[in-house]
Amino acid sequence: MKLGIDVGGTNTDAVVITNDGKLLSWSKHLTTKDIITGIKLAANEALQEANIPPEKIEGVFLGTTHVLNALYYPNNLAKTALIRMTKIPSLIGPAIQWPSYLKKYIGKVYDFKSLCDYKGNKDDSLNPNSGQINKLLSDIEKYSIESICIVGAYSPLYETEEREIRKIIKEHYPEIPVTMSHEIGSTGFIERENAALLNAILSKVIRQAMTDLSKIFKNLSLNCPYWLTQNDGSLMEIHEASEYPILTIGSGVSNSIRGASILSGLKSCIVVDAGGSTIDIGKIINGQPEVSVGSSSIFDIQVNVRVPQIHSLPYGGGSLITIENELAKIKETIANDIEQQGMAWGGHTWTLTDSFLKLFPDSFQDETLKLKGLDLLSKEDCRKVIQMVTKDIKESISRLQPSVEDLPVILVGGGSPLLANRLFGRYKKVLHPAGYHICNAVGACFAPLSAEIDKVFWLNGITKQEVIDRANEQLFQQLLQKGAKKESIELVSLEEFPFDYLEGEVLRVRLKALGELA
Amino acid sequence: MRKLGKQEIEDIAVGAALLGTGGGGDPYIGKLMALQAIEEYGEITLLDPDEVPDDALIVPSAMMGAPTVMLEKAPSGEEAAAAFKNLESYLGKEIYATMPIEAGGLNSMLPLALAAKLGLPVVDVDGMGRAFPELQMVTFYLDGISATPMVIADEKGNTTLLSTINNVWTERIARAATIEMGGSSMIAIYPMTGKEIKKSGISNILKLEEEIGRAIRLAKEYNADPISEVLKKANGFELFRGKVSDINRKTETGFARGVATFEGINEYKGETLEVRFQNEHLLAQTDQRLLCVTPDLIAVLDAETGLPITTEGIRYGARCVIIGMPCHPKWRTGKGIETVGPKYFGYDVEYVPVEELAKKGVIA
Repeated sequence: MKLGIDVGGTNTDAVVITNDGKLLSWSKHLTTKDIITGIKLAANEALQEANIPPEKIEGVFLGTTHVLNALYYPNNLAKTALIRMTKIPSLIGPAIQWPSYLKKYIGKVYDFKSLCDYKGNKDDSLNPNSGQINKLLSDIEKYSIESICIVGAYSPLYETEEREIRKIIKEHYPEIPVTMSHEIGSTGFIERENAALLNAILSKVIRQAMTDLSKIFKNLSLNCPYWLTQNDGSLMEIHEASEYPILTIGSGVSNSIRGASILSGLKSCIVVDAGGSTIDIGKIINGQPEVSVGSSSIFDIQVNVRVPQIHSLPYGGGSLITIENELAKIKETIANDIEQQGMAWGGHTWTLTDSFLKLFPDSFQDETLKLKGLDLLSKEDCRKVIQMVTKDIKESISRLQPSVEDLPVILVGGGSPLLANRLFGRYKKVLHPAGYHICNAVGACFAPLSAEIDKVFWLNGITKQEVIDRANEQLFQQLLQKGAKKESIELVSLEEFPFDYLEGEVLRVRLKALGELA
Repeated sequence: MRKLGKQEIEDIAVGAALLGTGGGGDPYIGKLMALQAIEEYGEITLLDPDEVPDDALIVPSAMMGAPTVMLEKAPSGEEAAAAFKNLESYLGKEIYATMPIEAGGLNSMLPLALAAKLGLPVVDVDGMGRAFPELQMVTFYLDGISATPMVIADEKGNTTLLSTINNVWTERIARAATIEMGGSSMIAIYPMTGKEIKKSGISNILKLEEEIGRAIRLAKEYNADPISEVLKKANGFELFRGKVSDINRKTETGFARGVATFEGINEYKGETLEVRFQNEHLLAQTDQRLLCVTPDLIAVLDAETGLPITTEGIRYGARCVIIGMPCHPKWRTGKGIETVGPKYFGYDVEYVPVEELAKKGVIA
């Protein structure tokens, strides 16, 4: 049996599902500020309702927007020291074009000299960086450095220099988190540095979260393995997540996309997830959520980390509405709890949900509704709000629709009944599956294991095919080790990136394999 | 003479990527370099070609080699400084100003960053009016100007001075040296007099880039159609609107070659467009007819934002508008077509100017 948990911006959901996919129970709680209390309440309730002892649970599967939110509303971020290793310092300084509220977490920057050429051969005539390393080591305490990020030019081609520096730091400070850029991103110094820096800055908040989670699960007597979903929708063990928080920032969205596919039984579809604070539109093809190719941006910071390819509208069911210059406007603020504050529930704030309920009062089967409260709103204003929202959603859908075949559209999320069946006539098929309100938690339970290699190989005396075969074998072994069923392992993508002008010598290969958890 | 600040750089970066017709490197890193240089050394002085004395020594600066590698070792500016110094001592003359060799994401920006660092002005002129992959593909070559003496420099402090018998040999030797230097290098090439750049260069290219970039930015601000604004600025033609339905890339003999296929939308529904590229987009054709071919410019733009998309950036499912723009008249001569026309790149079609092809479209 599996316990799936999704911590969203508004709600924390938990589900208990049997290994063959039957839903035994679900529960929903408001997300708490500390995250943990909400998880505890939701998990506990789902377990009780399913009426099964905790030792029957074989795995906990978690998705969360916690890490992303920690960047949005800076919280528990780590003061980071950056080590750059280059031949000569680049004209481009670190973190330019970063928002200043994040940039300030880069406490210290050290320029080390790279001692290797681009093939990784060490030049012994160069002096090692021992002086600077000693300075760094003494600065750690002096400046209360909490995290270290090492970025070497060419590190995707050879990683030894980054590893050596990390080793020295760890000998003196075994506890301090050290991010090595070659483990985070591929070629492209600036984008890789950005991604590695964000990862280092997040190392504190993720560790705190993982420690707290371990505590609650222990409290609940859940002694099984637990997993976090990562950006590409596959599972990550807790200790991996602690090392690579940047890879979990898209976890909530990828769960919702997978959940929609599971609930609807469709392997390829477009998913509209109408949540309390955002409406996310994404796509899944042959059971795999689509991720961005090449570099992507997080808060306008360019990174070469793959994130789910979604269009995220900056408002959701809880967004507040105002009239400005006689025009209805969706504001950035979100009601904490629409069932307390929304006019349709007798509250005093006008939300997006209220606008829909004014025109379509039968959307929600909810006895606590006091629709009389909506009398104060004008139908015309509400219609305008609805038009704006549907126009935005339709545009986002059309950007994701491939031209050859129109994919079915699946509506999920707590706000999806508002949209169901009345707005999307032009699509081939629109589904609003049962279980839409707990879609993310369900999706987490069905996430596969994954292993990925993205590396640059030197073709010295070996052929391209041999490189690929070796990498493939490595992935296979990794997945077995993580606990995948042998027969379920398959290579899902293989991309080659030849280096222009250096053809035949080097090849960047990106392979990814998936397997089901045994 | 005028000064370029950060907003100008942002606009030039967009316009240059558009005229780079899919190639010319990643606009992001070039832009960052220029922005950082302005922050450190102040605004950049831009000269109109007419303001340059006839006997002044002007040296274009550029990056050569694999953009992928370049992305690892973002230049410090020291390389170019060393290259300039070496060239000055060989020629026994001071360099008056630098200039870009081509329009493109990276090489439009590099001379700006270097100029700021070295305290030199930049001349508003280049040698292509677009981007091309080889060193001899410049309008200076058409006028018989030699690419050498040129200097190739790397980040380790090595510089190499080349004197070659012709520009094709420059390309061969420089490329070999660049590979030895680790796949990318900084070059100072085609040293010219003020008189020569006025005669053989393509003037006011940065101005055009800036106008295109600004048009796209303002269109977004004022909710106007960015595509029609771009077409006005560049005297261009809308060739097609479609969604990317297939993209096929491979790297052959040092260049990224491939085909992108677009399925028509709106008034182009039912038609299919193929765009062939080798670093740059070089040929656009539907099943029935040729729409635009090198040396005329083919740009792929995001249908919504109007922003240019590089060949690496073309993604399955993306909605694009493909536009064609006439190249500089210097390329439409016999020698121009021989140097950069469809035959040189291995496409078996005759060159027909885009405005004639577009006219045919109207009749059909």
